[in-house]
Amino acid sequence: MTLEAFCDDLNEFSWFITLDHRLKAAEFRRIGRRGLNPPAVDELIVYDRPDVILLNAGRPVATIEKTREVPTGHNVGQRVARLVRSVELGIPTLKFFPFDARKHGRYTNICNLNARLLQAFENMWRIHNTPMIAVNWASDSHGELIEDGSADVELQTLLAGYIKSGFNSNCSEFKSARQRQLAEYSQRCETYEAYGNPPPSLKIGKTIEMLRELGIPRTSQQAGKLLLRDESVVYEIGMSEEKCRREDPYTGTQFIYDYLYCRNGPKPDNKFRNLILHFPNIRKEIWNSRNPNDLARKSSNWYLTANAHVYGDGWALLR
Amino acid sequence: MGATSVREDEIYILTKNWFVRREFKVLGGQPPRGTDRHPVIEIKSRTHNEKGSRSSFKPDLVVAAPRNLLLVECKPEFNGDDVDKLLEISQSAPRRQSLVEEIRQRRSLERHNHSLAQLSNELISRRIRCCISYSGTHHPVEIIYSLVFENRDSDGQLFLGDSLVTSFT
Repeated sequence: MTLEAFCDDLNEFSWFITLDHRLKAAEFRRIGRRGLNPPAVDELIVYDRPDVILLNAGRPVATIEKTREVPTGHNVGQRVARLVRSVELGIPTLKFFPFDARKHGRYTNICNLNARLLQAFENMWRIHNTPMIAVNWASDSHGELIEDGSADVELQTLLAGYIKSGFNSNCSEFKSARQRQLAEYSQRCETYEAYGNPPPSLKIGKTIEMLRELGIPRTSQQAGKLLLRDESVVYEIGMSEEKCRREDPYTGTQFIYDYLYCRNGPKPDNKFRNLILHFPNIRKEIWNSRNPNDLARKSSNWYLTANAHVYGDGWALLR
Repeated sequence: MGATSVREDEIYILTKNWFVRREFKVLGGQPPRGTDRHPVIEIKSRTHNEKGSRSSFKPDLVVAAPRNLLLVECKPEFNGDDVDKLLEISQSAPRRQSLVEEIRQRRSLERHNHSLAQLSNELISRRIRCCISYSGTHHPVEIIYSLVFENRDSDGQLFLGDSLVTSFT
């Protein structure tokens, strides 16, 4: 076993190698700009950079993301694009984050995970046949995250089993985690039924009706491509023109909705419904100048999976 | 190894470990990139009431010594902007109050069973000290502590002005 851990930050590397005694032998490698890393790492960071990429004998064997943020409300998609890339490449992916924790400030309260994320992870796992696991960073009775390292136990168990199995993505620890993930989703939907349904920012309906609502003439050749699918999902993104030069959390959220309501195969074209991103407050010209489909820029993430963009004054067919 | 400059993430770890070795409690931490197990403590500006982090200050480290709280900014080299930033915080009563409220809300002292938790907010506010941490040679600064690492392999030395501090509580 020859382990290397590619990280942005020595601090995260220092944490990561405490998770299993065999990881202590891992060499620290700093993730460089694209083109400066081994090809396998460059391939993995095409959408964005995960926190830890573990390589064994030069081959990526795990991607780990760690965050203190509860993925709640519309922030649920934060960091998701980079994780999707990992499972697209068949690399087991673990996201360590709090399912429930206190938000601080004047309006302090406990924030709960948007449980749709768990179902999206399951769908990603099924479609790519690659583990995509949410691991809870537990909090105390006051909602503060546990900081003494004891919250790492589940992650430690998963990594120990995976390493011991010779990096077998069908290891029993991952299988158990999948069952827990599904059970967690069901339980959270029982508590809050809305998570079993699409969020208010989504509309699902007949493509022909959606096109009419969006003002797209159905007679054009391009619209004809959308009409090949009977149904469409329209994700409305209310950004203003002043604040449209951004990706997070929307480009991650598009993947969550894609895998929940559209996808049936590993390629973006493998959909049973169209995914349409709707920007009602942004003109097409402004959009194209601020968010070009330039592979050297993160704005290209806007073009990764949707079938079409619809702007305030026009639209574009993407695939 | 010692000849090359110390990176930002290294100085953060060196600094944190220096305090941990002396059994000080780390209440908050914000590494230059990535996530630490400690929370990011935010000192809001009371002149900005809008939602979000605008005008808020997030110290790289917040450390509880036995009798004092220490706000720490870490940089690979001495940085005068950090001094100005820390002076602005330490000389502003509303900012200090904001920090204490944040720590209270997070129960940071209580969770470490720290004796400062028994004090009133006003008393804690008076026990806030500031520190810059960097590598290289010492640049004496009055009022603010300096934790200086000659290189990444050295143990740091704590100064107040020109004077070496051998015991900080």
